[in-house]
Amino acid sequence: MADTTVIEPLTPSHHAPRRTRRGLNERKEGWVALFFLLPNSLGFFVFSAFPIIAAFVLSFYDWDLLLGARFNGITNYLQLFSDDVFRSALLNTVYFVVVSVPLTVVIGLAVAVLVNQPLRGMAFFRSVFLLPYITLTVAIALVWKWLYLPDVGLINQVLGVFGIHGPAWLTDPIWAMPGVILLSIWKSFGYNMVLFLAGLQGIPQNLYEAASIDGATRWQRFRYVTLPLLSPVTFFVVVISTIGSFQVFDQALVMTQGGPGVATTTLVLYIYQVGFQSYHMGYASAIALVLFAIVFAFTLIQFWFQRHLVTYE
Amino acid sequence: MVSEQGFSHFSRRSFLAGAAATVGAAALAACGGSGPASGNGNVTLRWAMWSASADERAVWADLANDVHKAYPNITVNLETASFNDYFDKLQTQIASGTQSDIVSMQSLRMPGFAARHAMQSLQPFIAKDPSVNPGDFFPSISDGLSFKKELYAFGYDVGPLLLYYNKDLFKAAGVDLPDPNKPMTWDDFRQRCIKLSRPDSQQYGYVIQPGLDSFVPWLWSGGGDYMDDGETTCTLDTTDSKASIQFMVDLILKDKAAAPITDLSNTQFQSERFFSGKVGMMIDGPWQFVNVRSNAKFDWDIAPVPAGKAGSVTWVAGSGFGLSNATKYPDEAWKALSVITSKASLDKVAKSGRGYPARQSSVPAFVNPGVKPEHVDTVLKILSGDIAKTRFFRTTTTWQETEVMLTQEFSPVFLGQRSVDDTVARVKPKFDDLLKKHQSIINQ
Repeated sequence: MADTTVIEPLTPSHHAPRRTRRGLNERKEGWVALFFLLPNSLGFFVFSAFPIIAAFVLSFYDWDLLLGARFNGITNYLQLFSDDVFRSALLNTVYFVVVSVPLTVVIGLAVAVLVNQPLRGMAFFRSVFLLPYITLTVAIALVWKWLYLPDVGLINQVLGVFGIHGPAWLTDPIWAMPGVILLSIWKSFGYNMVLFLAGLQGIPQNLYEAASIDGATRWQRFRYVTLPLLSPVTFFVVVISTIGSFQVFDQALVMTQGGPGVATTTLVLYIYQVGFQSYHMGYASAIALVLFAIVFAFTLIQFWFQRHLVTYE
Repeated sequence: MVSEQGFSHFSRRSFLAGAAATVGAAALAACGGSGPASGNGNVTLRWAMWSASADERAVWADLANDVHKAYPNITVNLETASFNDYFDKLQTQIASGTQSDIVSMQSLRMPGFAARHAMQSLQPFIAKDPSVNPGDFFPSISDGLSFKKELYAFGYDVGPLLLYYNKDLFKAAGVDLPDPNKPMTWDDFRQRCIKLSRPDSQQYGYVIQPGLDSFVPWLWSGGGDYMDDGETTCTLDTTDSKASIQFMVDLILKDKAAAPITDLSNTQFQSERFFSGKVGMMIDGPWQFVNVRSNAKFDWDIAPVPAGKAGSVTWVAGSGFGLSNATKYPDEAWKALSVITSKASLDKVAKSGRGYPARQSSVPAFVNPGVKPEHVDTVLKILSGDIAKTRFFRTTTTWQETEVMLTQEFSPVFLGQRSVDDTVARVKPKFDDLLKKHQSIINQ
């Protein structure tokens, strides 16, 4: 037995914390990561986190930008209950969200299915449908203001061809908000279409083939293959659309200034009027906080739905 | 090392990250706006003013140049914005300490801004330099630009609201032209509007801008008012006030003799309709002469506003220039101010038609034979009280908020969606509330 070689296992002591080339790299890469995160987090803190905290603090003060800020506790929040314009703004915004979000999602999905076909010219159509989304809202709103004019506007003229006497859209308290909603749907469905397109193209073809072999109709294929596999995208689209819709502002400001009366005054427009036209920064901050709470609550509800309705593969 | 792996990878990445951060920081710093430059005795001042067209802007740019010619060490940089944006911007600029050295102010908004220390009193400067001759200005505009009896701005224009009319449209419809020396009665006005109107071709006798400002002459001529002299109570609920509102509502909706309001977010709604040549009359101030001259492709002239129960009563307001409370160069700014509000400058402003001059000595420069309006002397006759009564348009320190509230509450009335009684009943408590706040601010 004199020739047996004993192989000693490598003990951890052989890998004592020496400054190896790999450890140094890791630490340096840690710094690199920090550097890359810095611009974004700096931007986030300066332009998002800090203003939100400041708004929260401001909501307990009364400040008109020029004279000093005076602490007034929860007076601003209590005032919300007796403010009829705030009530209208809240209802208008919920009305807007409840109508425009489902329509924008459904239309986006429908168009995505249409342009997903392997036909010629689809790239052209995809760009065209996305065009309204990437155009400035202000520019679109100005043009649509002309379209909505009661006698000479294009929309009423076209309706007239079918014998329908169109309403005085933007000055009619019943039709002003639908007018704004219509514009918003037209503007935003393109973005949803793009997202749904990506989702559709991520569904494996063999599933459709399997379904056809099992005798599924086109509608059944859509309902049982496409929709479930699209649910993560649908979830994302609904959440983003809802959050965005609660912040509707540009269209209301440019087309109607919140009128007639307060028919199209949305929460963000009201915040703008209270804060930047009437100079009550504290009250405006309180309204903004309420809006934040509402959007947060809606998003939480949607996340709850996600656990039950969204299937990930 | 410039190889593709290991440390050089890191150094290239970190260089890029560092460079990006530096550029970002520099961009942030640039966002803050440039402060006034100075050094070796040269001073650059900022002058903010509103302007609705390139023509208007040119008038002010010219005056800014004059400052440099008179004082070569002072350069005045002109910043313009649209009228509504100007005041929104001013408030935020004052809050962040970035307002211009020379501040333009409208008499309607002077109480609000002066009470909040946005501008400084000119009295100490006038005491040291009486050559600016403050007595040359029309008393009404000096009153309008004062706060607590001290002058805060020198006026550049003063204007009564007057009636503009489209002579071509009147002649085509066979309607008598308004008399430039005698205001017509409300009945007469209504009849002429009805005769001028052809709703099927969108032609109307009159157009009004939705909002309080254009409506006040009607309110006053009818014997009503929006608030009492003590500025404590809203008086829109008096019988006379309500009757005036009803008159206008009926003109638009029942008689269809005034243009229906089709655009609630356009501050130029009234002017645009008038310029289109399809409206017989509008009420606006002499500050529109320059715009009407370039945009109206028809023959036009002016007359006093129609006389109601209380006669022809119109409001007088104006604008001027003053010094910001926070200017770093008060003496240079004062010198610049004295140049741009001098008789020579106001002569130029008068000649261009941008405004009826606030200096009485510049009035002759306003009268240009051969240039419309033909009856420009009507303005002076109105201002002096010969053919109409004028009252200064008083506003409160909470006027911005009051205007927002009034616009919200009044648009349904002119659209026929709410009765006059209901509207006034809703407005009164809100207006009274705002007057209470106003009183607490001025009594601080």
